[in-house]
Amino acid sequence: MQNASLSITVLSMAVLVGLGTLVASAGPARATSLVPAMARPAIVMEDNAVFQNNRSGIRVRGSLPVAIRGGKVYQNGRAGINLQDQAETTVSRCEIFANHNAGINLRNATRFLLANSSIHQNGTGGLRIRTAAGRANHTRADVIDSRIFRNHQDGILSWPAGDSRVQLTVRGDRIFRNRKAGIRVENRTFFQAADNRIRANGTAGISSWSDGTSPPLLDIYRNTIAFNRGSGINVDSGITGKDAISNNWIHNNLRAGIACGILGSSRRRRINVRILNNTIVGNGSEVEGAGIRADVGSAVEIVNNIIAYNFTSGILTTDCDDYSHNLLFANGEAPNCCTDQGRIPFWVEKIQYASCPGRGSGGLITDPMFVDPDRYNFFLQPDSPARGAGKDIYGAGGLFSAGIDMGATGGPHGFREDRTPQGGTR
Amino acid sequence: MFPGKQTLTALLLVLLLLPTGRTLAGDRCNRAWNWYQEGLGLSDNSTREAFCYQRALELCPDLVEAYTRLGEVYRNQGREKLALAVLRRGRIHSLTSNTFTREPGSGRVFIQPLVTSGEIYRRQGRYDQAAAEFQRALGVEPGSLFAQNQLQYIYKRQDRYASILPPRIQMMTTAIFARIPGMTLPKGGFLLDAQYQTWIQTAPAFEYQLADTVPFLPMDVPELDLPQEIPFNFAPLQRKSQVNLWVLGIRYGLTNNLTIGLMPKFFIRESEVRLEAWDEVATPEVSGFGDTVFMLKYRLYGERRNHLSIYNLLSIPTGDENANGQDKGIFRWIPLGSGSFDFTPGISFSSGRDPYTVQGNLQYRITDGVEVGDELDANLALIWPLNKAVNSLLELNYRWRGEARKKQRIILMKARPEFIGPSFDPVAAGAVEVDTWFTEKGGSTLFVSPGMQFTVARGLKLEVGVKIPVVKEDDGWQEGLVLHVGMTKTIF
Repeated sequence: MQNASLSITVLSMAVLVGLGTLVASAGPARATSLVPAMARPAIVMEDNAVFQNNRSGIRVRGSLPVAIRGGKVYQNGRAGINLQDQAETTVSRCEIFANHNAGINLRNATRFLLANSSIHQNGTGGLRIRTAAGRANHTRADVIDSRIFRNHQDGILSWPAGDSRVQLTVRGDRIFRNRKAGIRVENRTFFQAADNRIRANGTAGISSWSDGTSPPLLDIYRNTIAFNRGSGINVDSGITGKDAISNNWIHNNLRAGIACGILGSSRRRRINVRILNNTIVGNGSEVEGAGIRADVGSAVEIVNNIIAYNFTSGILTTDCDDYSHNLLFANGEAPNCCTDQGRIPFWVEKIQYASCPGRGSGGLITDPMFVDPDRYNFFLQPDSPARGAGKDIYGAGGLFSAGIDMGATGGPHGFREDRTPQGGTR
Repeated sequence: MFPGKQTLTALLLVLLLLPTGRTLAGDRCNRAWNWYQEGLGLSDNSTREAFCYQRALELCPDLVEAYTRLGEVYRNQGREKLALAVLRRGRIHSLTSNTFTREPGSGRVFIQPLVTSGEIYRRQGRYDQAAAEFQRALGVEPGSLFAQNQLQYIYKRQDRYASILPPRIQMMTTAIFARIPGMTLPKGGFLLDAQYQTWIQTAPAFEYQLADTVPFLPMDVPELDLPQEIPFNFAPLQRKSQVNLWVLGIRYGLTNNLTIGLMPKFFIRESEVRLEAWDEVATPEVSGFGDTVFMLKYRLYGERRNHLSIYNLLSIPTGDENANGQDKGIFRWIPLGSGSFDFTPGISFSSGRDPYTVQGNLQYRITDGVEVGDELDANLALIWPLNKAVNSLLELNYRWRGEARKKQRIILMKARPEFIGPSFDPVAAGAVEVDTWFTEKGGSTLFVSPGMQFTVARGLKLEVGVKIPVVKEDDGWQEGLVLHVGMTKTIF
């Protein structure tokens, strides 16, 4: 069924529309809610197939809450769903694919929730969030339990301009095989990513960038970030929040596991990042390949990580400081050693730390004893030296004050042993 | 003779069916592509997704992408044996298909079955098979980052470290003639090196001074009524010698920033003395240990690929400064050492810039001016890796050397040309030895020095190079071509 030109304007009434649709509402803009739950929808669009329209499949403007449920939106001439000007929209159980532009395009929308949906094979990315400079309101977007894959640009792009702000939460999603980054956040994006699988994207798994105004605020924890063609996490500009970059499995990305800054670039950038309790394994190729790389001018704290089998080195910092209590093993040309921490050949240490002297306090160079690294199972065996060797960075006297494991299983956000390591699929 | 009616009908049918057949095949592949896209749209490793690819392959068996993706689905479902079988079929079809020879970027599609198979072997712990698949993929597509990534893991699991890293990210190297880099050795690290160099040097001498204690030679030829004393006159003199030098060096990292080194030298020096009167050339030769250099180097600044150090080379006078050689009755002092402690402070840097490395140093040797003059050396080297095992080098080496006072012995014998008076045997007539000092002139030379280094084993390099003088003072101290062969072994 096609309809290339029909559009319907609806004021404060529920609609069920099966064709190219414009939903608009009059009335004052609503303030952005800090509550995760969405407002009760005034308009519900359910079980529609919206396809092959010349312009967007569905376009929503104004602050009237709209819910789009269980539909298919595909092969439209612009975005599949276009949300503009204080739009407050929930999209759930939808499949949005093969649209000429983005799957979902947010432009100055106020509130957006995507849940249990698939966005794939769209022309300019899966979900694009843009806000104009000088807006009084900000955009809040939550992407929950959805699949965003094989889009022709970034899976998710957040791009607030000037002093506008986007609060983006991505949780429980599978984001894979997009041609550019899995998730790219820029400028004043308050970004939280947890429990996602971000795999095999064309550049970085997660990329953070700023045009020189304010860097993104990052909380990235308990994700699996693997097989991306760039770095697992690439922080060109960014500041971490309370959850930092923590408890992620980061493996087999084709550049660095976590890269802060750009090699050889002299552009000033703002990086203040904490990298805690990650398991970073087997990243890199001939192009680039440290487990964690912190380039010139970046403030990066690296604690309690397990970094093994990365291509060129384990931790590569220009200042040779701000790291401690990390376990490194078999990075670069350093061979599989060492059982006696007091007798580690210096050259092994030097390669692991990319020519920097010293391991920092509490640093280990030894086999972390993963359960099954061949199958990407990086949980620790019971007698792993990384168990209980981490530094207490979560508050003295607390539940995790003593005996914190190094790696992604340690600390309050740590993967628990009864969870599968998510290494099976790409 | 005309063909029969049935034959003509058959030919006509064949002609009609040929394009139709192609169209049908093309149509089938178009439909297969749609099935393939539908499978990609699912991308959930489900049975339904696998069915899409199977259907695509039934319609168009050359659709290699479908084999790859079907193999991945089976792998992700845990059906690895089946996945390997599908990928093997995909590889065969990719070889027989002409798609991959004419389309740009087709190599990447071609290697997908290989790398996916390799990855499955990795999961199964079958490292040899995995490595073979990844190596095969890299043979087709050397830039396959995925194959590189997986192969390095396999190598590490097999303890095969020799071939993991490309040369540009290996440890920084050291130039051939500018031998003192900005880096210091890591604590506990050793560097052993053995070098051989040979060259010819020439230097003009002037300002002879006879020692005060030596009397002038009395000219005892009464029939000619000559004066009893005559002054000496020396023609302009040029000293020329062939030098063969062996240096055995050992350096050790006391700390990460402090390296010490000891470099004993062994010389064979042969001077060339032209005897105009006899139309002969005498070549007195000496050999033995020269002065030993003790190096102390401290790294002022160092991060991954940029290093700056200061150092001092202390020359310990272990060489015999009175060494002498004789040939054809010609005696010559050819000192092997300076006879004094000399200091050579210097500064050096190394900077790695993928893929090349720049290294330079500047040093000044302070001497007492006896036997060896002061010397300024400035070196700049560019080291460019040609491949994993070979570095090419190009250096600019500038050397200035000051004047030096040198000891010399002149043996005077009575003689005269045959047309003056009766002949006599000059040797039987006796000789007078005159010890003198003369001043050897200094000079400056700029060299261009190409060279090559070959990594033959882990930490072991062989090197050859030649210093070619391009700017030099004709009337000053100068060297000819300097040939160098060396070997360095790093032990960390």
